[in-house]
Amino acid sequence: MVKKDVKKQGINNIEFNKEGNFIIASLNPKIYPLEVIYSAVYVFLDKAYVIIDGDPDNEIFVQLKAKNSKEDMEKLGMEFNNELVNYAVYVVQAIRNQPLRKAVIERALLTNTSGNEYCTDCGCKLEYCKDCDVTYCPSCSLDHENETAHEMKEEDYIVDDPLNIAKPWTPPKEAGDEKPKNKKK
Amino acid sequence: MSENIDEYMVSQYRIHKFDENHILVTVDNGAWVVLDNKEYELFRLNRISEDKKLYDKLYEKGIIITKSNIDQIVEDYRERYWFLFEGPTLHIMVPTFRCNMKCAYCHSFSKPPDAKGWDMDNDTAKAVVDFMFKTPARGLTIEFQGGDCSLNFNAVEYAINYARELAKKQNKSVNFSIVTNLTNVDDDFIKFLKNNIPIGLCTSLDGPKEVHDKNRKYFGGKGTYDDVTSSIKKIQEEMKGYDFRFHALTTITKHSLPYWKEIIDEYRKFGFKSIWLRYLNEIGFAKQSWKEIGYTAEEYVDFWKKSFEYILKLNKEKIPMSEGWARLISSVILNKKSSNNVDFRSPCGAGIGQLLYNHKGDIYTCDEAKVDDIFKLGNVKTSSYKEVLSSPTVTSIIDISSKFPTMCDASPWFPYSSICPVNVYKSHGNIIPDTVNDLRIKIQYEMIKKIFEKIIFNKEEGKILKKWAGTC
Amino acid sequence: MKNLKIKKSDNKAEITLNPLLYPLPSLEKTASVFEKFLDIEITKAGRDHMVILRLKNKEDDIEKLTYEFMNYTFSEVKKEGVGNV
Repeated sequence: MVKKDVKKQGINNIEFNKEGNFIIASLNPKIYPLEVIYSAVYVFLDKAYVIIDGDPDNEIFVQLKAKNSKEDMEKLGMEFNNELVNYAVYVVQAIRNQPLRKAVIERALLTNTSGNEYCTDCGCKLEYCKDCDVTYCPSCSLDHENETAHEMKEEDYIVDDPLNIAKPWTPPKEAGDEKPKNKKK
Repeated sequence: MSENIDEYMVSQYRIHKFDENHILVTVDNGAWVVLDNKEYELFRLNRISEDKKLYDKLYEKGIIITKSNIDQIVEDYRERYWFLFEGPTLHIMVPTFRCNMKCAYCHSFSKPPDAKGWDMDNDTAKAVVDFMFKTPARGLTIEFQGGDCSLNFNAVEYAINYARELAKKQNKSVNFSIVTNLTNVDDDFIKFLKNNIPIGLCTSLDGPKEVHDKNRKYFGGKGTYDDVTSSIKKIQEEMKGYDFRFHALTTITKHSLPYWKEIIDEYRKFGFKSIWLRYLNEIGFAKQSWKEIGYTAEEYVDFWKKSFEYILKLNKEKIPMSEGWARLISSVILNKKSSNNVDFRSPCGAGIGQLLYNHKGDIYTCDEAKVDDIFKLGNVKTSSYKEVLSSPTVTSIIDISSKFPTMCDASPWFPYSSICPVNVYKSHGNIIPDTVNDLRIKIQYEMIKKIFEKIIFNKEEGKILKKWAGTC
Repeated sequence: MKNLKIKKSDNKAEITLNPLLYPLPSLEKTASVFEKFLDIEITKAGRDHMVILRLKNKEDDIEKLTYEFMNYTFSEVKKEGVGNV
């Protein structure tokens, strides 16, 4: 894979075939994992035809055959090597900074998906019903995503009232008495 | 200043050495300090406590974190990332893709003025505005672009009136901005502006006739300079005394490069007090004709530096003029808060700071993305706000443009630069940037370095930049 | 590459693919897109996939179609997350 006299001749993992207008790069998957190779190859899909072969545990071969016969294959090969480094760096950085990335993405998503929408009819803040998985306007009772009336369940009407202020005086219950209706939120 | 030297932790930092006695140290939230060689040696060897003055300097700036300044540093981070707590504030509506011009660098792939099927109807306009108001942001700016929006002005007027209604209902504020080439200015247009103040108007003026007409032509091939400048004069005259914001922007192509002084003087001629020397995006027609109109990062930076020095010279002669990039970069260097400009943040505004709606009501991450379905997020009539804002496309863009997964993380200019994943995708074939060779990144780094040089080494010019920073 | 044999005279191509590099679902997806232009046979050859492509229309270019087939398969593989960065 790597020529022995590296100091004199430099590292050369690419074979150029001028006649067939292709290059074959041989890559060590311990230096460039498969995910890095695939990402680097992807960038060349519009310029070249690609074939990948080899053993993911030992050696991977990538053939890039130029679509355009005038393409400078030597330059293409060098660019491919650079692209490999670019993606390898990306993978390292992505892992290293994962907590920061997660924090930024989570914050952005939380701001935009935590129910800060407003009713376009009456301007009230929309609320989210976990059971029905819909966002609705408590004033219009409209399910704004499906434009159907969101039926408010009895639990939706119940408010906290520790001092029993909302409860009107009622005579003692007799058999057959029903719960008062129309408690509004 | 701290009373004692407490236990401290050094924030993640990067450095740039201007010379032996001016070593710039920057940290993630944009705080920075300049150290001399001796101070830097103590700093990097973790011997800060040996020099109380140095300790205080680093403590004040938040370069070192202690129990007593950590709350302030947390607050500084929150201010830096304020836009993550707001939701999209800029909403761009494209009422038509038709245009009467064919600019050399148009990134909308504009259609001819007589093309059919490229206009927004009022029903879609209503649905678009309804969607816009689902943002959690308390204030919105609605910008009308194109094509040229003047070719479907009915939709613009409808949207403005409806948006005002919704803003009143939801107790939100809404601003409007019309972006148009100013070749269609008649009395009705002036009347519209007067009846809808406050309103913003933005147009393109690429410089003197010999530059402008090379870049910006009618569909038939004739230059537009005469008509555009005549409209500029008319609008300035008619709108005197009105609450009206009128800007012009330049786009720099290869044709513009030799005319750095003439372009600035052209803006002065028309009374504009600011100019934005925007570099090309490799998108749309610009990408197709890059050989004719494009340039290297070095060529653009050379142009920009000459222009910047000239504008500073004008300021020293008490002639008011500022430059857009310099103003933006000074602002992010000298203020704790990130810029209002959605394109110049990390993560960038795509999706989370701005959204674009085309004539069919399709939603895209930003205006650079509007012709590429890979950045399409949904449609106002069929997609929910939650679906759109939590889509994998938006998440990927947030991730990449945060710059944390890239080698920008190792650059001293990390806190002050930005990545445009759309531009990266168009030029590179993937949203993961080649940070060494990316045109935008190279240009930005040179500009940031220049601005820091001015702030650190030149008191008078630093003062000018501080003044500009206050206006951002 | 040894794993690709294009026989222009027979309008046929034979490709041997490592399933770790080109999983079967991606091959099958590509096959459904290219079935208009090619007769496609996917079989096993030891641990590898053996893909045989034959032109439906003799006026098409088997070499070009084969390479397009391979590119499309690769992009499907990438989309599926095999080797996703």
